[in-house]
Amino acid sequence: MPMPSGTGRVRVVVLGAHFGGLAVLHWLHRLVAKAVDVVVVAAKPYAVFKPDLVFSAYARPRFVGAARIDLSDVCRRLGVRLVVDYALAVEPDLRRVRLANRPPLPYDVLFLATGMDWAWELIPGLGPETGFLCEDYASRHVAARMAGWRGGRIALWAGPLVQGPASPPAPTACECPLVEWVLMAHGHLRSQGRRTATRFALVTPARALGEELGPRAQARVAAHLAGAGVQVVTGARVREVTADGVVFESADGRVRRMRPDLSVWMPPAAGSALARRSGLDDGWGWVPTDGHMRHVALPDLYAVGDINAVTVPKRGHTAMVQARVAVHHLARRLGRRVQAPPYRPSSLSLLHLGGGRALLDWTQGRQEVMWEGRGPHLLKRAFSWAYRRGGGGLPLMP
Amino acid sequence: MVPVALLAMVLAAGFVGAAATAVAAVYALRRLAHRWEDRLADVSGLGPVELVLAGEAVPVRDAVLTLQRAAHAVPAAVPMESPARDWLSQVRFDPATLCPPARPPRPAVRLEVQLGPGAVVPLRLAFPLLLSGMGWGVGVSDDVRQVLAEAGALTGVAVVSGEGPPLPVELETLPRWVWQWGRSSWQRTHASLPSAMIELQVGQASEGGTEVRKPARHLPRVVRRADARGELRIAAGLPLPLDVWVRRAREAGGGVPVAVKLPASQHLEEDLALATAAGVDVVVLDGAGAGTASSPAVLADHLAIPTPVAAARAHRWLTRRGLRQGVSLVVSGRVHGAADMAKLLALGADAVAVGTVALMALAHGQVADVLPGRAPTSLVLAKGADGPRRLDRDLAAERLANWLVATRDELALLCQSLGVGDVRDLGVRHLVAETPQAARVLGIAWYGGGAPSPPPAVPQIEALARDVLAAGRQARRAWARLAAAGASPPSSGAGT
Ligand SMILES: Cc1cc2nc3c(=O)[nH]c(=O)nc-3n(C[C@H](O)[C@H](O)[C@H](O)COP(=O)(O)OP(=O)(O)OC[C@H]3O[C@@H](n4cnc5c(N)ncnc54)[C@H](O)[C@@H]3O)c2cc1C
Repeated sequence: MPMPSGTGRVRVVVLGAHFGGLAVLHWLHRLVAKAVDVVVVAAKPYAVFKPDLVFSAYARPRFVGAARIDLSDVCRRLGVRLVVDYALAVEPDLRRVRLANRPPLPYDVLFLATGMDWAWELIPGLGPETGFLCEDYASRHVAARMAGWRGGRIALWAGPLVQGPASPPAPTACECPLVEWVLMAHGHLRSQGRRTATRFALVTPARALGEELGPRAQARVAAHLAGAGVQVVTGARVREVTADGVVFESADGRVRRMRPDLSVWMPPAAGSALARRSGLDDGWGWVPTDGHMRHVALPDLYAVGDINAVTVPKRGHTAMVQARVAVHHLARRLGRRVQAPPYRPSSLSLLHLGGGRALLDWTQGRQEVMWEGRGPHLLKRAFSWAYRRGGGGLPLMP
Repeated sequence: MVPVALLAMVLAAGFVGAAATAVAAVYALRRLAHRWEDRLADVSGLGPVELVLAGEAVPVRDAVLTLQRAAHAVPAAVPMESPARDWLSQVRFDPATLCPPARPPRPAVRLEVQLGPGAVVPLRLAFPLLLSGMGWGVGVSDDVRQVLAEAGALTGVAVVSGEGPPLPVELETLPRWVWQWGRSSWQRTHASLPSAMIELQVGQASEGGTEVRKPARHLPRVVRRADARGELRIAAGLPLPLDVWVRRAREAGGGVPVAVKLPASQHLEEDLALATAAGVDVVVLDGAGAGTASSPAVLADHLAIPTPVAAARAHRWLTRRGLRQGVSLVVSGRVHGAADMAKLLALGADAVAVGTVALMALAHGQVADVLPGRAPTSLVLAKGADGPRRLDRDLAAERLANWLVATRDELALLCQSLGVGDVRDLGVRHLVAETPQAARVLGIAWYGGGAPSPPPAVPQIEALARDVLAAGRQARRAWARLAAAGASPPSSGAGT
């Protein structure tokens, strides 16, 4: 790694400041603060704690304010320079990042944590206007719709995940938020005595709902959905979204049309356009890395979180684990005596079930640990609180 | 006896006192009236009455602009729209009656349109509306830009950047972000941006193509840095010959449509000839009175021809030249809602752009917080961004999204009432003029008779035929249902 002249510190640029980017910043601060100058580039001056976006099932639209984390505050605490700008491309030959509003930003080491892209164009007629859950403004809008809800049909749609052949196969990026949303909406409407006026359907391209979970958790989720009277359609391929409804092909090959009064999407997901524009991807927009999250051809470039080709399912927890692996690896390269074991795929899911209960599921290979009840609910609440207060850092980082 | 006499005396005194007071009041009123009467006739001493009379002769707008000029010795400016002849209020819709009849809500009216159909990746709009260019720091605050981006994403319309820099969050949020490549000094060196359309800004109705200088105080730091002169200069004229400019934009855009924005001029046909020869995919005409953040009023109030006239003439020219299928037409300027939109679409536009009305919609619910001390525009314009009250972004984005959804649904409702199943089929046959002048200027029928309906163009005839056939099918279905009376209606929801 070329050392810069002048300060003698390594110039580290982190692109993206959500789960992956924030965890990288905290680990850099903990392990190599004195050896690096860190700049983080984020498209907005705040991060969003996405797991809380499922509260649009019943919360007032203003709830999104509490899910936002002020980045200037976090960066001040960590001694990091925040650049609010949009990265247009990475130029690895010149070791710099091209930005929309500023001169190019040079780096010695780059962490890519800009996540995946929503692939609206995969389904004709689909767009953010169709209703979705994954950004703060979108979830706020769903909450506004729910605030005036009088009854009708609510359909939740999981879009397909477009992967390259080198990535682990997965039908969707992450279905769990839809499960959480529908169970919480069900519980809320029931507590208000208004449940019977609403019909719920959850439509997914997966052969079984929640393939990202272990088999025990999958069975529990199916039981909860059945108990809540949610119609589950698996193996569905959405062909088109029109003003007259959503046309999809079900597993048996029948073409059906559903006319929901409210649609909530986890949109189709594809690799990153930024990675593609920069020629860093595997041909599908995902960044191929080694076990230390290091680009297969560019040793000074790490990719963590959703953008990484190996990340399946796309999870905040995984992004945090990968950030740990990557920064430990860098720390070793910079001479710190730390262990730097490679990444071992695992998946941790914590699902709100409504009614003050939640389900925790951890899987690694064939192992599965599951815990359901009030405990996981309190754990998830505590995690959310600590994460937001700590600006993406926790006393004990995963 | 004594108390009775006393009481009588008190009553009498009271009566006399009241009568005297009344007489005095009447006398005083009369004196006052006489004096006012005399003063009204005396031109030298009108006092406050003078204000009323002057107000009748000199509009408040002119008076305010005069005072501004007197106070600051610089060209006067008032934000938002300027007055212009309102042709649209002289136009009504011709309702569908027997053939074709009005449409039921299902199947839904098709509102989706594409701009630049000849481009590799045309710009698809969920309904024919764009939020027009109001630049970050140049016109509006960063909060407003983010609100426009969020509401645009939530409703499927495009948002134009304006002459300011791109707010980074817009690039992340908006799949339909239109980069306006303008004439400002910082933009000449600007990198190409991922956008759904590139709009080359030759001019706008409120300024023409004149050189404009904006104080740097309210500009985002990034622009101030890029343009070290302490102010933003939006140069007169084109930065490149038009054909070269279009070619560069096409290279930068990677297949998205290239548009050119022009003030709607009396010589718009010549402009169209030059623009289409240069190969643009979309022409945006900005009509008289179009809004602005701070253009000189001497320009904003007096430049350009009205939007509906521009729409009708441009459509006619493109049709006659056989270019109508390949070149899209967008118009803007004093468009306030679905009725205006539908009229302009019927006159020939493919989509319309709105600015001022969007700012009004997004500020709803927050204006009272700044009154009476500050102007409502301080909530939205760049120069108000450092004020004490910041815009509540979440509320504003929801309000604007509401307005857009309502406008979309109103547009669909209008189409239903006209028997139109696809917004692209709106045409002049759906309009009637209230005055012979409007009929003549806009080329539509006058309900008072005299001006004959213009002959429908071939595509309109085809559309009419489609409508008639559709109406026939509907009628047959209705008969079939009647015949099978008693059968239950098809269930909604999931089904084949
Ligand atoms: C509704 C919802 C609920 C979820 N719930 C859970 C949960 O309970 N548990 C869990 O583990 N996971 C959950 N997830 C998944 C989790 O949120 C993601 O896996 C996680 O956010 C990925 O983190 P990331 O840092 O890789 O990418 P992202 O979160 O996508 O962050 C990307 C960052 O990069 C920035 N950025 C992107 N492009 C650019 C650019 N060109 N220039 C500059 N900045 C850019 C963005 O602004 C953002 O800061 C949920 C996701 C959703 C949508």
